Amino acid sequence: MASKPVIAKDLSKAFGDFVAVDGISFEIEPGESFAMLGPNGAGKSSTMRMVSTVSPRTSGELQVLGGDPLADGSAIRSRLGVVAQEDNLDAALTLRENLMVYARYFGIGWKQAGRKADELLEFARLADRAKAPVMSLSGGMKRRLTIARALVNEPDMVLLDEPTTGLDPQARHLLWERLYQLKERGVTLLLTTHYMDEAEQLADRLVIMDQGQIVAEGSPASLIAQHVTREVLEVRYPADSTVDFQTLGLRNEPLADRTLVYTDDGEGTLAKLITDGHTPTSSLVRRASLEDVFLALTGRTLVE
Amino acid sequence: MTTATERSITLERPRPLGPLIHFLEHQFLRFRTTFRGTVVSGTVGPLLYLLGIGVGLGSQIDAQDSGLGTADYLQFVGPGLMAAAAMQTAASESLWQTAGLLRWEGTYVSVSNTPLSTGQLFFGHVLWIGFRVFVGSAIYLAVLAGFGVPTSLLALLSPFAALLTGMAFGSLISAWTGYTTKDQSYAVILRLGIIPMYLFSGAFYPISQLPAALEFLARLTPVWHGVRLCRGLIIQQDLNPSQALVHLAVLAAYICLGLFLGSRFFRKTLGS
Repeated sequence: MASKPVIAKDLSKAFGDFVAVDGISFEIEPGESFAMLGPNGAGKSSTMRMVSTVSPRTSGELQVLGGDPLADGSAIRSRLGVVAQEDNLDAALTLRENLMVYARYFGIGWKQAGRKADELLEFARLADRAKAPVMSLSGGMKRRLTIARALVNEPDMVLLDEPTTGLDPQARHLLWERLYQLKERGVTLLLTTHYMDEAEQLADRLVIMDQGQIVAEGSPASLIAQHVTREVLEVRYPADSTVDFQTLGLRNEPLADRTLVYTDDGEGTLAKLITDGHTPTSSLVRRASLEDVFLALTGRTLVE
Repeated sequence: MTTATERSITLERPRPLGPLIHFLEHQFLRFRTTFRGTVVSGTVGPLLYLLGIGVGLGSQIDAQDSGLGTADYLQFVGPGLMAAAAMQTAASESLWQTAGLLRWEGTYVSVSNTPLSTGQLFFGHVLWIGFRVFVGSAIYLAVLAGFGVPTSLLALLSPFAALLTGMAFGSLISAWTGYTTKDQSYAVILRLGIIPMYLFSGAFYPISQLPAALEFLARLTPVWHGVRLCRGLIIQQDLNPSQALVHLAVLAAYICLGLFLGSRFFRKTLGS
């Protein structure tokens, strides 16, 4: 089996006085789908750019596909697929040309590049638009073309920085499906996201980042089990209510408009609140999510 | 490095110049859509300048009396305008155009994720500007030939002199575009940099007519060296081989400086 695609040890990145990434350590296994979850400014994209070899690290150690990004940049990039936050497609070219020109940079012959482009247009469900200009595409189509472009060299690892930000739900689900297909093929995925549902959908394992540091690491299920309860009861009370969850022995997180109560049995807890005379104006029982983990760990919500 | 997984495609063995060649291919492909426009405007522009200034204004100037040493003013100003046009083309390619590729549309951001190195990218970028200037200058030369300006076959080398002039400006100004995100500065560069250099380049009159301090400054600009080379090659005036070597060396030095700065600034921009 190949060695670990990414090994980071005390990895840091500073821009002047600002420390974007503050001594993080993590390892990615071959074929794994690994996510970095965190709010904007958590240091995810900076980490991504160090892994993609375009941004030099400030300190610490980093190994990507067995090489050092500082010394072996070109060789590493030849085996990486990168989907940056911006699509950066070439508006002067057609869809097919975008893919072919990109493939050429990896030393793929014109003929093979053409074949690969057609195959990837099919994969991205854009085959009928092969000769269209990039400008005619919707946001979701552009994203799919960008992902197709990242696959021209059949990369060993694909980096995706906020792959579905700004897309409508339908476009997101189509994209997830394509990414899931890649994962099935055994491609290692490293993605950043600030959507917890995206991390839950795609990641085998993830780190939660906040202010340049990793605050938790594990599978989505294990993180939920470790840091919060199985279920969450959301309750709303009138502003003048005096319910004290602490004395009721309930672990809770007060938010601006509602309170989250962590419990393994949401319905039971709600019933008990009602029998105790604390009937909420509205209530909701749901499964705990990574959002709750983030809130429990940092006291803040992911998307503000 | 660990061994790569099985691929259905074959990646060529990385050659040192491979990615650079692919970069130029990419630019050629982009160029196809604008090629015709470039040829048309590249022909009309010189025609207008040569008619307006060379013939029109030239009718009021006695080239022999004013010590220009040429048969008429058109012969003097034509080759100089060709070098000045090289500077202008390079400048316009290096400002908004380059900022678009590097930042706004991000074509360069995406290719920086391929095996292409930033140094190769910047060198390719400057070479491409040189090529654009070369095409423009070759058309310029053809128009000059239409007016009967060139005096020998050496004139065929003048587009190469223009190419070097274009690469000097292309590398230096693109380096600036890589350095700053303030695109207001681009208009300042054109107004306070390029236009003065255009006027004091020696294209319109010998810079020996200028006050000593200004003449000294004019000698420092890449465009003056380009004007001297183009004029020397096209009408065989005032240029011996050792002078030509000095002009070439100065242009080469400017190109090296631009390449050095530009690849650093591009690396910084692409990595942040």
